[in-house]
Amino acid sequence: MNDFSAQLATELQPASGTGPDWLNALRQAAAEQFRSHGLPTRKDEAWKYTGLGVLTQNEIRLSVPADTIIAPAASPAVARPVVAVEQQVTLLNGRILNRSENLPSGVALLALDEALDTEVDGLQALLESLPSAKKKTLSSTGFSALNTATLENGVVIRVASGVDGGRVLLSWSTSVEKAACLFNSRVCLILEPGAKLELLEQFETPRDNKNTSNIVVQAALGEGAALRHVRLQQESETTGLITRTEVSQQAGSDYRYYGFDFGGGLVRHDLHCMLLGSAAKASLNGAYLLDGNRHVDNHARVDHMAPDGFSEQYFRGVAGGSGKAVFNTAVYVHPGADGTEAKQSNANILLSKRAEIDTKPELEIYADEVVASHGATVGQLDEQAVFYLRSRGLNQEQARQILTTAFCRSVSDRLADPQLAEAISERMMDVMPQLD
Amino acid sequence: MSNETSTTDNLVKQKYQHGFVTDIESETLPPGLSEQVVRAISARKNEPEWLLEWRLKAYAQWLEMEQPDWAHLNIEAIDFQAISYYSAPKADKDRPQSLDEVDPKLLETYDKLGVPLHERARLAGVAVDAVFDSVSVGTTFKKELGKAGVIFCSFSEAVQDHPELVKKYLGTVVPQRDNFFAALNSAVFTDGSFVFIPKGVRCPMELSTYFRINAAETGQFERTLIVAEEGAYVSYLEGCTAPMRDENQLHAAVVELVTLEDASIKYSTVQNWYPGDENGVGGIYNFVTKRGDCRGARSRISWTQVETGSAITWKYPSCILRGDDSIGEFYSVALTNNFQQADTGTKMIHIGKNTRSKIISKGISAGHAQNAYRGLVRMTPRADNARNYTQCDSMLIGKKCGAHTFPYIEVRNPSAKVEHEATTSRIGEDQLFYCLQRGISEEDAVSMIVDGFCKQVFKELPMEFAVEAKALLEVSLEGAVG
Repeated sequence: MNDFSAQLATELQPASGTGPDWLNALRQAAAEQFRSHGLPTRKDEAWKYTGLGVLTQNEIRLSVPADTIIAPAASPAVARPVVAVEQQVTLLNGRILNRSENLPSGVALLALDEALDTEVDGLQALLESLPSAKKKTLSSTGFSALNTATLENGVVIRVASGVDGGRVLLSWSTSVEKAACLFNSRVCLILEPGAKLELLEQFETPRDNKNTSNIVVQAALGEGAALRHVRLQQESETTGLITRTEVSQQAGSDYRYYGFDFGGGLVRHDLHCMLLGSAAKASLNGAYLLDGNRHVDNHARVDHMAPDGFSEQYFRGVAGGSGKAVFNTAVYVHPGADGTEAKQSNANILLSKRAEIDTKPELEIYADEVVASHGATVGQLDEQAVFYLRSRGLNQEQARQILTTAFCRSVSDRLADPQLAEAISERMMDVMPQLD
Repeated sequence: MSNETSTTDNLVKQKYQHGFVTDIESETLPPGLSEQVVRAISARKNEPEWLLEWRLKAYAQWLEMEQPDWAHLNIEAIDFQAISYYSAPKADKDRPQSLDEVDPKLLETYDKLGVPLHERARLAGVAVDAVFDSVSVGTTFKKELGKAGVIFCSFSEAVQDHPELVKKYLGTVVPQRDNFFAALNSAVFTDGSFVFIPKGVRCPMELSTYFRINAAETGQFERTLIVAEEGAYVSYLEGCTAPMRDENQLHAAVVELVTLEDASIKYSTVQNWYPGDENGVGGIYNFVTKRGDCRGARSRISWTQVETGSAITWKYPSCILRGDDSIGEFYSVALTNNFQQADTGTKMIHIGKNTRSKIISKGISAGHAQNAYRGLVRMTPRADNARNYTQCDSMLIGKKCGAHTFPYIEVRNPSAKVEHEATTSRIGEDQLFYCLQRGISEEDAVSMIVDGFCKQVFKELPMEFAVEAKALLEVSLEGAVG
């Protein structure tokens, strides 16, 4: 364990006392794991390409010096929503700042501590189900251990059977100045059989800050439930964002993820779908555009544990400046998951001499009657296409911008809502000029 | 398809054809590894002081290293103190000068293996440096090669006759502390092959070594070094079969290739060591470090391998593309059946400008076997306009096997292009059905489909090897379908 982990371990005070006994046991166990294994290092295979330099340089603290927190009232306006939404939850430093009250019937939206008090159905099972890494590589889930040990803040959304919960926006930002802090938060989504929900997450802090957010999203999809998960991340170049999304899917459920990383200093997202029931579907899509010194690491993994599942992974990335993009996809087809179809596609464009792209599309297959394929490329813009556009009177920069945008728009165009797709593409255009 | 099961069962249970033990008294060191053992090996081989020092340095480094566990392999702990590190046929001191003087029993061994040394060598125009256990016993065609200036001899001979060349190149591609098994090999390697092709020479024939593991509980630690000077060319074949035995035998070889400007080395392997029985008992543990260094501009290294044997295969023939415009290639067929496990692939490190590499990997998994492709393509910042194309396909036969792909792609140059594609599938029911309704038996149909699947790799093999490889695949695979 390195100095940084050791320092955090000494600061770590499990959020004990509040909540039921099982929760305190969970927190204690996680704290113990963290104290003995710490945070991941580059020696952990899953963190081979991602060091925590930004966090150590920022001198991240777990305990927050009281005088450095900006009172919510005085805090700068939080992010502008990418599209207008009816249901919105604004979170500051991992805690709910405000939330809309007009919820459709059959939808419960609670703060995590409230939910624990009222004993929401299925919440205990969900919280206890967060998988840990294998014994030898426990440090690779160090952030999750930290998150569980301090489990207190967050959001719980529960959609009753057959209800369409509509779109809920979670708007995340942080507000500490002078010092840099690590904020933990947990989102729990419980979709009963046949329920539907669209979760829109937006990460944006309107001014530069050195904080890091460590957020775990857990979703349990009942039979035939459908979750659409859109994530737009535009944090500043000094911000850390460590997130993990765990989705468990029952038969016939449908999970669709659309992630857009247009910012962040050190960004790591672990996205994991477990297809527990037959004929479940997971569609994971993402685009990442990196300029400056940004480091964005996406790890996506789908476990096919039942027959006739379908999964696809479609990711597009552009790295310019001194940006470093890491992408790791894995498909794991367990014994018995016959009839699985899995597709992975990852294409990247490297624009600058200082930028770097590391990609690793993995397949692990233990079942018969499986069709799995993956493709990964790293290259440049097609010079012929650039030439074509220039011959039409566009300058070099415009031509490149159009082509790069088109490359990434292939991801946003997959969104079912054209209005949202357009809004995200506009944000994409804001990043483009800096890429070279 | 169930009515085929009984025939297929018989074929699955087919015994390893090359399993037998030749009864030749071996002069074997007692099991165990220590500094004394390293010194004893070096002394027996009458090695110069610098080589002993080199070995001892490797041994010291090995002691500090841990056996790697990152591969997708389930390996029982290896007791390195239970292995004997040196075994030589007794006639060591007065080694035979020609094949006629070779122990007839030994020649018989090769006959049983289907490698009639004389005939094969003469008919095919192949020089064979046959390795029996750890000491080379016969080298043919030496004179003819000598005329061309080519040096092809056992490693021990090279140490005696060409120490300056060995000293210049040994360990420059795979340093002693490169990895756990390479360090072990560097400390205790017993013999192997040495090839040197001087400037401008195109080696007049294909060179070949037949490795053979024999005496019980003897690890094999081969060391091969091939150097092609400016503009030289050589094609080298390596093939092996091993006798049947129940203890796991350890093999940790190191192969180093060096190509200078405009030089080219083509290295082909057919590996058919004892894979263990149908219950996963026995079989060879095969941990190999193979690496080629394209030092000169426009040089080329091509690896082709057909891996059907060994209980465990841990092997990543790699290319360091240092010279501008140099080319690296890797063609592989890895077949695992029963309880075999393979974790194999390649590394292509692009350093020079305009370097190109191509990777074609075909994995076939049957029975309870696990077959993994693990590869790295790295484009360093200097590697302008570098290109890589990778294709790795896996085929699953049966419900209990696994096929895995772990490709690492690291790009740090904006003018480099990397393409990777992979597929995993089973033999298509419709393909089988099509063949069956044309009157082709299921066995033949499967072998035809598999042959087609592997064709891209087989066509890279030299003629004689391609035939052998195809037959080998059929034997190893037949009956795995049902």
